[in-house]
Amino acid sequence: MPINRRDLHDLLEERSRPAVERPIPWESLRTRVRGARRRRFTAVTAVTAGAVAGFAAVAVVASGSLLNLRGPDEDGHIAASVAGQIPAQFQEADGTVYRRVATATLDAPRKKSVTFDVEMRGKPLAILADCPTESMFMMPHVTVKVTGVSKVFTLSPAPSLSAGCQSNRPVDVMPLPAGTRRATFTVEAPKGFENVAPHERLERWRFGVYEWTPPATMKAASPPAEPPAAFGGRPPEFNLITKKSDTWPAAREVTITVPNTGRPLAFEAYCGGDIADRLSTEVRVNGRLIKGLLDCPAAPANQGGAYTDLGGPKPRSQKTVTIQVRLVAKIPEYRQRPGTLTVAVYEGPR
Amino acid sequence: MADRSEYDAFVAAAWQPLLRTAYLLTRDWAVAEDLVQTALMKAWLAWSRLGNEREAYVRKIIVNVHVSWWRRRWRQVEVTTGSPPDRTQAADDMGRADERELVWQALGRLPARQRAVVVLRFFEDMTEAQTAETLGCSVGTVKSQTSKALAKLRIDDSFASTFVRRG
Repeated sequence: MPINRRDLHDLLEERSRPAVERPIPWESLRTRVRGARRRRFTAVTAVTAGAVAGFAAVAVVASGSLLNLRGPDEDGHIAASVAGQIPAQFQEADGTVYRRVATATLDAPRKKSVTFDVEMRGKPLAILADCPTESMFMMPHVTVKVTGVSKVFTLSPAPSLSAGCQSNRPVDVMPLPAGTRRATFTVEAPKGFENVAPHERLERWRFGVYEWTPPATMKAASPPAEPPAAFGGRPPEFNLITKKSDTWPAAREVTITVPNTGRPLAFEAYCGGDIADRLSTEVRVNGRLIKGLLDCPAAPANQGGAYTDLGGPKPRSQKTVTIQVRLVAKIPEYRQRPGTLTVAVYEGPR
Repeated sequence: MADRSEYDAFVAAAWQPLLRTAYLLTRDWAVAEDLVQTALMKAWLAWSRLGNEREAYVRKIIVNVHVSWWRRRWRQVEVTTGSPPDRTQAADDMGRADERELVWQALGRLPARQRAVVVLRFFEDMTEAQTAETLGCSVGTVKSQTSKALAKLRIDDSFASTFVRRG
């Protein structure tokens, strides 16, 4: 016999009630807030250190506002990629410089798409959106066409602006054919865009297209973040049994072999540095490709875990389980950007 | 600069209701706390622009980040090499508590978006329009997702009129 909605409400109320006994993790929250602010302004710091101009006029920074510095750019502005802004130029922590080559506005209530051309100079392109929402259901769709080429290009590694909106970073455009001098961008409003409530209606989406240049001398990669010791409930169901990291681009894959104890296994692969969320991974388990290319996410402490369940107990005849994760860069310039790849393996209950 | 004491007061007041929502979405206290902290961190970065809709803003981030995480997890968990999870339960001799437990388990098997709709509509007591705003989708989508979710949960839709809203 089905239960009714009142029962459903009571069930949800009951199951979530232990929340009242859980203390607020102030220390952890403050650490994360400090870390987020630091990351937001890291790019500015890097630019400041490298500026050769005679002066640097620094604006007072309020949360979400633009920090302007006098610098060598042609219009006199170098800025951090700060929320809500499409700066003329900025630099990421690994030293890669992003230079704006076009801007566009999608006036969503009146127009459902905007098309514009970008002149190319042989450098990879990326698009930064001033995201009025982080809802992944309301992301505009970006496509790129090249005259004489039938293929329609989109974003990489995933064809969505969502990751860029969440991290306030540019999202790469798929590599365009060698020798392309002009690319035509089309940004379309998402389906159902006009059906949201009036006060939620997004009047303007702003975009900047950037060409990016890796640093001439590659920095050393920062040490990788530690993987979580356990995951899956309280007490945790899966505990870390081993981990391994290596440095991109010197190493491109990490392989771990663990004994088959008969317990369920899971693993997590993640990237460190500015390559996170931008490179893809190819995963093999005991030599078998178990999935197609996926983006390599940032460390779980920043984004939450994305654990891959390898299923229940393996046959006794299988003495070991080997997990091989290979990083794939669709854009060759990523071989000049440092990062790390970490694979952590977890074992579940018997 | 954003007012830190105001932010702290907001966190102190909103933490538990937000954590309840996050737990119902994630069903894991550690992940729920991580989710709420992520949302509160984003709220701090936008604090000066939030006005009076702070809790709604944070709840919106929680729901959408959860769906985002879940999608990534779903993509990665879909390939398994072992036996499928044991989801069969004996249906006979089922008391009320068993029925509730089955509904709870079924809720855990809903896709993230449908689970979010259930939590927002039937725990947060949001209207269809409010749910649509929070999820960033149309009211029609909320209706269809609700219908699918309730069918999977075996909730009798005819009880809608007797459902009592909180506060």
